[in-house]
Amino acid sequence: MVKPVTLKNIVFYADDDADDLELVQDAFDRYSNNVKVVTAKDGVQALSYLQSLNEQAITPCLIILDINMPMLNGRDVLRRIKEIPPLASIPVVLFTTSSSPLDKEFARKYNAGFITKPLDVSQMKIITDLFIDHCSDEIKKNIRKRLQ
Amino acid sequence: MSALCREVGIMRMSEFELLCRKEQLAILQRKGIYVGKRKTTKFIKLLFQLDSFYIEISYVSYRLSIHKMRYCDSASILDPYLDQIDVEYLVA
Repeated sequence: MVKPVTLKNIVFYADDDADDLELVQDAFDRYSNNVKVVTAKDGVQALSYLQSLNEQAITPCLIILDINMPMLNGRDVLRRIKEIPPLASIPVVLFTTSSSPLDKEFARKYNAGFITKPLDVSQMKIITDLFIDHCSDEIKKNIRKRLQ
Repeated sequence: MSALCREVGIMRMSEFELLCRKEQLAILQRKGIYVGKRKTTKFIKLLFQLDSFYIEISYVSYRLSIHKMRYCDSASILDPYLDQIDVEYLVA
């Protein structure tokens, strides 16, 4: 179950695959002083949590969405996010095992990033940096500066 | 990335088998269509379709350490994944 966090930059990640949730949390470990990864297991939980953050005027620095999730898929969550003004400006990345051109086009249409899930450790190493590249310049600088 | 990876043409299983693993994974990540995931007692397996054949990756450590990759051009490899196949996607 998701819990509110206010002290660090929040990276919000929704995925129904427990292994992938763990993998991304591990990938952000080296940024753990600056970033808190908050997770949801489906699209409905994701949207509900994002709306509750919005009501508290808390803004994640990045939203990562798996596409194939039960209840509400990542495409629908992205569509809904873009209809809620304070959430609409948050960078979103669709993170998926699919490499479908249709999904890439969908991401482009909604101004979201598109990253295919890695297949081995060499690809995994660069994934976190690819995620952070989608954050605003200020957040990027902040996260990386504190790491050094 | 090799010139082969940049090619977007149809690839045969016999051609794919000749590539090194790094090239295989690069092509798979770029062009592979995810079919499903399953767990056995020792491994986590992902199945992809690439053009007219299938590749099943067995992981010792999920997405990190590959035990082996199995190639197959028979649809029988789909059997353990049938309950996960996204019919909506196939129809689209």
